Amino acid sequence: MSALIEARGLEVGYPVAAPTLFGRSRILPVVRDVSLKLEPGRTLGIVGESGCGKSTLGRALLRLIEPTAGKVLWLGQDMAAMGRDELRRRRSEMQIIFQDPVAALDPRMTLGRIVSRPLATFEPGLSRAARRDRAIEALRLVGLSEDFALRYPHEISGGQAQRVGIARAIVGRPRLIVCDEPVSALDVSIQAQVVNLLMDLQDRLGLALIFISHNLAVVRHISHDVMVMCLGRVVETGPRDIFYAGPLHPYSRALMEAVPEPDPRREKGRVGTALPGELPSVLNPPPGCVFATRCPKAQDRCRRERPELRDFGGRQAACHFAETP
Amino acid sequence: MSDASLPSAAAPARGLSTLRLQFARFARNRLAMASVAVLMLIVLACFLGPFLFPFTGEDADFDYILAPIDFTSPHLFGTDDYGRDLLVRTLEGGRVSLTIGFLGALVAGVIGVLYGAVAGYAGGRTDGLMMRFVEILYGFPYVILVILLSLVLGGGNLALFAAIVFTLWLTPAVIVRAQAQSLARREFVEAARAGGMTGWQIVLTHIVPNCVSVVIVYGSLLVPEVILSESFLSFLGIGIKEPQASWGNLIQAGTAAMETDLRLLLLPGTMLATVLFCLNFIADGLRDAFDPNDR
Amino acid sequence: MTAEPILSLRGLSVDFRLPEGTLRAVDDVSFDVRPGEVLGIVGESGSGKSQILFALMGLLARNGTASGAALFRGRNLIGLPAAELDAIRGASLSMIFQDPMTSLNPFQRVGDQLAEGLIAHRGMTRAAAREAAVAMLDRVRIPDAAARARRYPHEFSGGMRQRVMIAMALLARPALLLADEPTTALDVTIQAQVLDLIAELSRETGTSVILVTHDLGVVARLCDRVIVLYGGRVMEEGPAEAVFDAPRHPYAQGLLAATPRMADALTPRLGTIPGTPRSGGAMLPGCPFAPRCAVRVEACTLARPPLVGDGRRVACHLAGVPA
Repeated sequence: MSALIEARGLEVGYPVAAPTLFGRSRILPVVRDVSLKLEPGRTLGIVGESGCGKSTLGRALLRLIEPTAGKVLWLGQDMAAMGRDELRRRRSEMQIIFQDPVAALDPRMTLGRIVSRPLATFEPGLSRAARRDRAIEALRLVGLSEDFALRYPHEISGGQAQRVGIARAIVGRPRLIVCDEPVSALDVSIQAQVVNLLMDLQDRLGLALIFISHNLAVVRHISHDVMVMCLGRVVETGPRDIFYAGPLHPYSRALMEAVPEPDPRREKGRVGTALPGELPSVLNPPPGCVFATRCPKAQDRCRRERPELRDFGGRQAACHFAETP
Repeated sequence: MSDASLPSAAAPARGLSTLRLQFARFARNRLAMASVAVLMLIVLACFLGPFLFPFTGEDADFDYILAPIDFTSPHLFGTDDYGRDLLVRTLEGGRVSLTIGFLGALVAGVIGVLYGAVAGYAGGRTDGLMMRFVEILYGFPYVILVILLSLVLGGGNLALFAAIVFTLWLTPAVIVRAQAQSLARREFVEAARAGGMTGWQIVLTHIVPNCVSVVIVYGSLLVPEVILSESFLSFLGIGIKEPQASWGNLIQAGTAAMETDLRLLLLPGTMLATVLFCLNFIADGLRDAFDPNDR
Repeated sequence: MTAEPILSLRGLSVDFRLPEGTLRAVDDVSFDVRPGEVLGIVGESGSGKSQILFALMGLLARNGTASGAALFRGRNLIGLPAAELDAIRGASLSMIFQDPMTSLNPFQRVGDQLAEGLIAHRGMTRAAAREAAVAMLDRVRIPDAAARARRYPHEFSGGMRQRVMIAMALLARPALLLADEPTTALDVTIQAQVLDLIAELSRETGTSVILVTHDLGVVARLCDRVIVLYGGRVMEEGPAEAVFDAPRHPYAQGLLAATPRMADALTPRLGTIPGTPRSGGAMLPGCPFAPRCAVRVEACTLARPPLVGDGRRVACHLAGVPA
């Protein structure tokens, strides 16, 4: 099966002001040399901590941010080669949901209008009544009854707002949804509802999902494949079960160990095992391996020479000393 | 799993938009509502009042030159030195001043909002250029600019109107630009871009409506500014020209005769002051009602 | 342990006066904290968990009133006059918050802020206090402590600021530390460091800790006992292991089922609790969780279930009835 979306050597950077009046402003890379492939109907979980570039990557895949290098291919077609109008049409196929569910809704519009508005762009032939019907259908699919269409964002809860965001994303019948930390701002019980909803919709509508999160446990539940990022680079990828059973990269291992589990016996035994050191700064990345400053197994070679992503039989890791467990 | 199957919080069947909530808050402010009432009365008086009289403000009545205030005479508040009825003249002057005021504020507001929304949303070089232009215009002394524009546009009332509007759209533009900049970063604007909307569509559908509260509050302050502007220019002699009345030139005439005859100043002065008070109370009320902290 | 509890809450309630009526955020909460123990209070938004801490510290918003008793070393913190509360706060009772940036003065050097507390509460000289401050910064593993003490808060990362806050809170060796979601805003690996630090230091100084969080994993990591709060009331209380192994209250069961795991078999879908957490309004009669409870019976909406048990307490009409 050919890939739905593919990234090759993607780089995204932001211009940083020059330190002096006449200095040249430089580009600060936030995403560096990222490649990935996603098949239709599958979920890729992208995990990492602050500054790893995962949110920027998500937006660059949808071309909401322009990459500074590399390519994104949609159904085999280079997105940079698409004209502005074609890209606009294609947008119906790839959507996004956000971390702050209420900020993602225009406070001045009714929920019904928020959900139906994209159809005015994607399917201009539809009548207003038809758009309304599609919006109500989308709201039903996410578990909200018809009378929600007349309400305003300030009248609903965070969980309901996230459902509205999902309804807006699916109303144009997309094939891919980028989920940027969609449950981080929600309570645990609501988080579970939304995660289940996304999985249900994936089954029903054949959606592919890119699920960006710092929460390894949630990612484990929803993903088919996992990608770990650190300081803009991919440090490990692999199928979900194999990854969680035994990560290859020391950073992945450190992340897993740091996630507290609701199991007091196991957790009490972990006290004192936290990885020391601070997250390195995005503005001043260390030379060599991105994890070298904190890695318990770091050696001289790691500080000098940046490891490439190597294949380990269906998985990849960027470490000089990665071993299969 | 449906959220609706549970007893939901007491939410109304029809949503209450934030706009409706804000106007409801405004309605509770008695001083503001009273000002609205007074203002409406004055507007009605100015536009419909003159029809109640058999003469216009330009008819000279040679029987009653410089007549004093006399409620028994046909000229209730007296006449000026041409025998023109002061009350009717003031009301007719009100038509001109209020029209210029409200219309001018509306046009300046619309131009300013669009300009500011585009600049704020576009950002980068476009924003920079647009704002530099605004700053240059700010640098010109107001009266000089109005005189120049007036002359360039051929003199006359329309030119005056255009000139006043042209100087007044700057501040709404700057205010809206700041608002637009913060809105442009919000996720719902990102969602709109992901929804394939063009920049113009986003500005008109998402940015401008969310600047409404800022615009309404400022707009209500803009109206007195325009009226005063016109009054000031007419006072200087470059505004509305005789024989047409406006509060500005009536006050100018009244001030000239102030030492000998206060009547000429009394009516237009009082009306102008009242309207300005009302507009300021209304603006205060709107600001309280639209306070973003209360949203 | 029959040691005297360091803090005894009896019937603590917190009410807020709102234009639309009174909101009861905390309703009749009672529990004890023993010396040296770490107690976790876990709940979702609207559960009132943070308000309990604010009530103890006298930090409630102006429209909030606390009632009931909170006996700390024999004195009731609720209604204590300001002067007496000031002598306790920062000395024998301290608090750390979720966002360290707002509890650190951005205009004051970090070392000076630490020293301030010592000078005020322990009457140390400025020089001695500064030295103790640097020693404490070192103790919380701030690298290069002496130099860092002369920096300002904005020059520290989130995790480091949180450690500075912990240093400030523990410097005066309080008997009780209140922690309001101290690691929620931190990255995963940094969170682990801070949790380890709290565990280590509290054990070393013998400080009891009340840790408020929404994260069950954090509770499992740090806490000896746990209280599950919903709608301002205690739903279940007990030793952490017992409650996590076999929760008795439907809400606690639901929370655990809804929490995704790193190990253990994967279920096709996460367990959920239907509906949304309660937000606002007067207290309903009956159990606050009844509207969302899968096993509710009529009694649940009519009468509030009392908290029963000893050492292990549950507030549910159906507790003890096999699920």
